Amino acid sequence: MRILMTTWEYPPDKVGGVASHVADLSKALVKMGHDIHILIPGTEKKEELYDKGITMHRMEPIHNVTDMTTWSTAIAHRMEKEAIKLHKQQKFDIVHTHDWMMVPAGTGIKKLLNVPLVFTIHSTEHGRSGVHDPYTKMINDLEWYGTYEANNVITVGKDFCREVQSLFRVPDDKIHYVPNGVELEKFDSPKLNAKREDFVGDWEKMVLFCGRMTYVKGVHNLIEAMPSIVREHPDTKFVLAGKGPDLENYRGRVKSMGIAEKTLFPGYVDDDTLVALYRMADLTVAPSLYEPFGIVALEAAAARRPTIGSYIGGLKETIVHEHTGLHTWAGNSGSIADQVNRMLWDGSWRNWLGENGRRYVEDNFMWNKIAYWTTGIYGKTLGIW
Amino acid sequence: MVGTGRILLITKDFNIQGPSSYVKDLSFFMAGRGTDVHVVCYGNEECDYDLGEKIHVHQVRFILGANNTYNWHMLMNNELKRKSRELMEKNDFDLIHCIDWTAYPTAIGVSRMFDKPYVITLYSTEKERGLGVYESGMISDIEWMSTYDAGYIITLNQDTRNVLIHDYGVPSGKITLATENGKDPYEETEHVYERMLNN
Repeated sequence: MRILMTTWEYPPDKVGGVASHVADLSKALVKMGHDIHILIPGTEKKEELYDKGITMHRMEPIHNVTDMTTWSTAIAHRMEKEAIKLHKQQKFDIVHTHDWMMVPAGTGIKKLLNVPLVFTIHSTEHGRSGVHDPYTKMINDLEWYGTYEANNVITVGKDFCREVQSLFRVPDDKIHYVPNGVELEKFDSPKLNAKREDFVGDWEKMVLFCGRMTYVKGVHNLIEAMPSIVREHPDTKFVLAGKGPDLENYRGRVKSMGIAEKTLFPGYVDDDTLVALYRMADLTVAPSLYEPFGIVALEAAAARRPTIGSYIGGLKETIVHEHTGLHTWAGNSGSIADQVNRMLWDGSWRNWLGENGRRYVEDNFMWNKIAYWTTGIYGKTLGIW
Repeated sequence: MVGTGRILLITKDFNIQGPSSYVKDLSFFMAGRGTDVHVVCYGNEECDYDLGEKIHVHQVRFILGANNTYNWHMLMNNELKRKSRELMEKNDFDLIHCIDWTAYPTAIGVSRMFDKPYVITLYSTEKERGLGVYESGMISDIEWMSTYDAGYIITLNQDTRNVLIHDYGVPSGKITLATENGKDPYEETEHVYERMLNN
């Protein structure tokens, strides 16, 4: 099949999980023999062959932009023009759009090219921040519009699938659950692209958080749990990697709590460093309050390390309690402290959980399987089966 | 010129029961010349109807609201695109006439999809309207883009023509002031069609 993807992020430029998802899915689809073209914002208009046969079509940037909703409708117009040009060279079978910011592009291309639309929704505004003003309502409406106009909708978590279905009233027969996956090769490299001593002392245990520094990721709950963990395990060092609007707030919080020397905020880390951090960490914590999928737990598992994560959303699936990691009550710092303390006592147990996690990923979350399931949805969309 | 030909008029508004308007009067004028006129427009309900033998109105509905006028028009164009593309697939049009920036995303889309020339009429520019709304810069950008992509531009007043030339950098030879020196704007529009089809 000839597939046109639209996305607002792609590695190495990453903000959330959409970039890795689109890149890894596209690479797996190319391996299956599909022809993948990706429309993506850029700093200049250009076309390039990218990861293993994927053709990237970068759009010129938008100036005068007032907010992200307006950006999304403006970039859609540029993407449509590019899609027309490519479609006239050789017809696309499917347009596959990701996230609300690409809904105007995906729907516009569908209407103009008369090509069926598949929409992957990675999270909802309702879950991320709530719908409480015209701006968040617009985002919520675009998410609904994407599910309404799409021939088929893909969600990345089982709980999340139910959330989307109930929130946007999506008919049963057009909404599907296809999980995210993990590319194992990058976790198996003999070389580590970061030094442990740059993050923690050799006598210290590393507790890792990685993700956006925002309220929904629950970092504040982890910070509240830290004093209790440090009391029981004085050799603990918390590495909180990522950037976001609340980063400075969190820095100030750990300082005021007197645990600044036990905490490191390396900011945004690139993919290679992140993989090294997963591998070097003793355990990873995912204290999210809202998590449609929970890729962090799978990436840690791919690195053979256990994760302690909230019993919500996708983390219910990506962590198997007492087998690949531990669950905590969401928003409960006492629960986080208890589970981290438990796990820090026993290195052998951590290793056992980590090995189980790795097998769990290999059995359930490989991109070749996910690409196969996605192709099934493409086939259903086209009426092939 | 177009005579027995066929044109696609794409406009947000086409109120046949309302006061006289450029789009309505142009449709009747061209129909009187024997041209098959298809009008794609927005309305409260989806419907198709004919006005006489030569004017075919295709009204689309759009169900989403938006947080600003720019976003709403850009998204509403999805339905104009769908209907226009369906018509282009069934009929052989000579040209596409777009009214205002509010229909431009559709006009340029179908123009490129089906290799048909398009002309745009701009009643005014965002700069003249001076609305100073939140997204005025974006509207000016898309107005500029609509003039850049168009084969010809029709304006109905001198101010708009001046803004296009001096602020948007449009070559003066690409602009027709259809009301200049008491000319009939509909005859002038027909002349623009002829020039476009002869190029």
